[in-house]
Amino acid sequence: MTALTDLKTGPSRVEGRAKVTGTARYANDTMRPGMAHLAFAGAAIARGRVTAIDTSAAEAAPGVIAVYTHLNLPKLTQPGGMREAIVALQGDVIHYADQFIAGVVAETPAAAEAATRLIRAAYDAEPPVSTMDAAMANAFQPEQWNGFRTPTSSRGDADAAYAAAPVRIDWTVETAMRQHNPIEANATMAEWDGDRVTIWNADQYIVETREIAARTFEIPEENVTVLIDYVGGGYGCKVGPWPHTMLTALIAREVGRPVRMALSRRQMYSSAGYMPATRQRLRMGLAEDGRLQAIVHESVCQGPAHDPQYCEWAAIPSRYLYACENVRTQHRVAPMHCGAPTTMRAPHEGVGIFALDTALDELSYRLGIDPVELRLRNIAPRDQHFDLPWSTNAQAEVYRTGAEAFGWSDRPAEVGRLRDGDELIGIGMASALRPNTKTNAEARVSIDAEGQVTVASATSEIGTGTPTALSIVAAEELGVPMDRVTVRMGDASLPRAPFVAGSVTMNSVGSAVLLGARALKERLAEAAVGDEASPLFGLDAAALVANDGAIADPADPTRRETFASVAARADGGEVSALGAFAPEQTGSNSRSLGAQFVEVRVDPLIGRIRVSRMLGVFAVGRIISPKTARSQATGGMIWGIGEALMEKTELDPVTARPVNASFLDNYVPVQGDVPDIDVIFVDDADTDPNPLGSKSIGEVVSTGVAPAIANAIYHATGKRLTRLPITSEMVLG
Amino acid sequence: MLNFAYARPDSLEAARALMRETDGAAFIAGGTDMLNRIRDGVDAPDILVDISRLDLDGIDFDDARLSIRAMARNTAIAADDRVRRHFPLIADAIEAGASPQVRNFASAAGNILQATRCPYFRDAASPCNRRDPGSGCSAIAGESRKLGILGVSAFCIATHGSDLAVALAALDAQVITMPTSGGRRVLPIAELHRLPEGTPEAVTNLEPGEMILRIEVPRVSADLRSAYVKTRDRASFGYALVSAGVALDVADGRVRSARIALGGVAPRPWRATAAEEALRGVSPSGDAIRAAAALSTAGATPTDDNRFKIDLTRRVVERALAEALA
Repeated sequence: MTALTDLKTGPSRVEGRAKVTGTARYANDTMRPGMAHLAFAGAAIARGRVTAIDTSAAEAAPGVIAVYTHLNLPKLTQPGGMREAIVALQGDVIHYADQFIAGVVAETPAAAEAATRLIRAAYDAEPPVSTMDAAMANAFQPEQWNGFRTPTSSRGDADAAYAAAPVRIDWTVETAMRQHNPIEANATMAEWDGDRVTIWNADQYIVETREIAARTFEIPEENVTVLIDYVGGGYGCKVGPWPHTMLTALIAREVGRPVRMALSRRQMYSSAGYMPATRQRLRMGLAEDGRLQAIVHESVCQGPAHDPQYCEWAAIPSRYLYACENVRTQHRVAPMHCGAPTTMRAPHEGVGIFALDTALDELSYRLGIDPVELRLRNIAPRDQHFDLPWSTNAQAEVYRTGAEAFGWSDRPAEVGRLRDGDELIGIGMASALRPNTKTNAEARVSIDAEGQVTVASATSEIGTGTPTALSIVAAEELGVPMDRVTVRMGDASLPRAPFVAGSVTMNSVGSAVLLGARALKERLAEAAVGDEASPLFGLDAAALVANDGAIADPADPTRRETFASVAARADGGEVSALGAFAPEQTGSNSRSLGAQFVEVRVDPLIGRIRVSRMLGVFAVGRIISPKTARSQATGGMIWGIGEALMEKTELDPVTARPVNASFLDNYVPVQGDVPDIDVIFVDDADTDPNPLGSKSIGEVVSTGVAPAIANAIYHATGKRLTRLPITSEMVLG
Repeated sequence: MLNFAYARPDSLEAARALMRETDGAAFIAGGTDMLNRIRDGVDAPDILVDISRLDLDGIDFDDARLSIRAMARNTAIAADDRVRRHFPLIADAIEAGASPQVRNFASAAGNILQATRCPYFRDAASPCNRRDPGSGCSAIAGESRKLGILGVSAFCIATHGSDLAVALAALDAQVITMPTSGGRRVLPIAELHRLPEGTPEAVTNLEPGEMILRIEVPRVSADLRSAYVKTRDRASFGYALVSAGVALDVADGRVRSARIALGGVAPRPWRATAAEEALRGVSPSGDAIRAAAALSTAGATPTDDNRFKIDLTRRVVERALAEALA
């Protein structure tokens, strides 16, 4: 490959202009002739049954076309596979507040929304379970997920080793229910033509939406088109179809018109997932020298009573972040009356590290061992959970690089020593961790007679810069300028791509593009040597080199032909090749690692907390697209500020309704909360997991921020805070 | 959005006539609060009377008073040199509130008349005595961390969200209004908002259709010392957990008068009169400030969720007094 990129510059987003000029189209921008608009009315109660529903006023309201409830909407015979096990409007049972009880179709979005307020429902209500305290008594062990996320694990004898350890800590932390809250609410447009349907969906997994639509409506997959140009942020709440997507398509079929629907911001708090609250108990035993001897990590997460398919696997990082012979983990789910949770940046490790790294920080003071040094003494030498070596392991390097760059050695070891006027200053750090994920993906790479390269894969752009990164991969491998590459995505009929979530896209789709580009070069070479019209005719294709947009004979530079020239003589004036990436078990494992360094300023008189400096150091393989990778890192670290200091979805303790279901009441960081952020990517190129040498970035970058902030607050104030979010009243002193 | 009529009267008299003769009419000025109220389903006026283009903009200043006209935009008030020089408390309070975009639109009168941000008031599906009298208060047994501790009742614990109103309360401002019956009326800012008691739906002492024309701030001392301190859950664009606006008249090392107004803790800007009394005549040492600040929450009735606000309020008052005297 010819490197197009260096870490300082690198190409800007290819879709940047469309986004900043407003020409980028999102699901809720879709316009179709004759379209109608759908809005859902939500249940006022969180548990019980709808005993009567009066839609007459809504039906009579101006602009209303139809009103659907569980009484008149057709029943789906194959309602499975969606993000939520229960599909609303298919029965009278209410499982959570704001669950849809009616859908209003009208001529305008405003008319539909206004008419939802005229729906009158009577309920047979029961008291909901609305708090973790109340739900704990019924906590249950969830099912294993996808083979590798097991509810329990045990290696060595953790309980005995803990009991015998000279230094022990018994640590409890709580993390909050949080919303994805992308600026773009989940939205769907559906249009039928006979037994064919086109769905425009704000979607991180259009391939699955296509499959589920085919199953739901009992039509062949080729009859389903799923499209989306741009997704306005996802963070996990748009991974494949929620019931609202299929209900929109169902209602469009019923009314016989194209129908568009966007969830309200309030509905984003009940019908599009959330990160469940966790309560974690962590017991760690250490030797006097700080080496871990035992970890027992038990986590309970909030879950909906009606839909036990999701678990926050918060104890998983204890299996593979640090070296420890004796580890036992356990997960349970505490059932409440709330909507279905789903993965949210950064799941599992994202909240589990808060327990691990605040406990380690506490131990560093008890043992008198510097927090960075304590982690250096516990570098995981191999993947002890799966008993495999790491393909690369830059764990020590991320700590050392970060400590050096952040000026860690100037940090006083004692708490409360740094002061500036009314403010106490604290410096803390924590580890960052997520799996290096990868999965099957395909991409077609083509070149035409003009030398224009097209990359096609059924992924979608959710804001991470995928079109830019895929363009870079193709341009580098083919040796053509970036502006000769066009990326086609956002169409489920293109070569199959996985969900744009779990940090899999670059590793998986990027590798498919790389393999496709390599295959394309081979195909071009074979076409050339077999064609009398080519200057390369008769040569051995395997002996040729293909670089800089041309194929050449290394022994005779005059024998050379451009890709475009070869393509011009091909059938259709184009040559294409499919790249298919399938991960192999290589005898090693890999992970995405990092370290977060944070400086906070706390005004203890009035409880004001400010993050004043941040550095993230990450070992995430080869950096393909420097600008968008850095943007992912800074965005993820800002995401972590919200987790640490602000975000909490409040459920009313009596009614289980989301209380703060708006951007005015549930805060995320604003510019004033964000300091200058430095990002360092250490050299970690690693082609063992995938041929591109990349690793997962999108999620690891937000892990570790919350414990680093909590640890910095402790360093500033001496207050050890183990409940998120950390707010003013907790730091008064 | 529900259907409503929209009227843009071309004179104060026409606006007055419209308000007098029309049921279900509501003013719209900057619209930053009214539009949210309509969209949240907590307000459904039949007719919106747009006063934004009446001759109500501008700031007047003379030896006796600052006069902020009703339609003066928050941004313009905070940027005004005379305001910044003579009443920095007003500029500081405005700049501590909302976002630049909201401040560009929000009017002075609309700011101080903004509806509470109590999340139960804003959720039409939750019982709320303020929105739906007699339906009950969801907040008292609900999630009340951000809600009131002073001047609240068993019927409502909502807080008033305006930062500007806190500054105006500390400066003994008054509002000049036009009742629908004609003429002019003067209301001290302390009498503009009502406490909820048993009728939280009655938010102000304005009569139906009565319009604020301007807000007057008296110039009582040439060298008023003031400070505005606000705590909230993020750096900006957040309502106060607790805020304090203080204005001190200090001469010869002694406090001649102290005015302390609190935000984020009560259904209206709350004057901490016991703390004010304690400061009168004293030379302001750290101990005296702390002792006075400790009196600022006299009579507080917190919930379990917001009990911390008692301590936090005292601390914010202490900081504001210290900043004003620094």
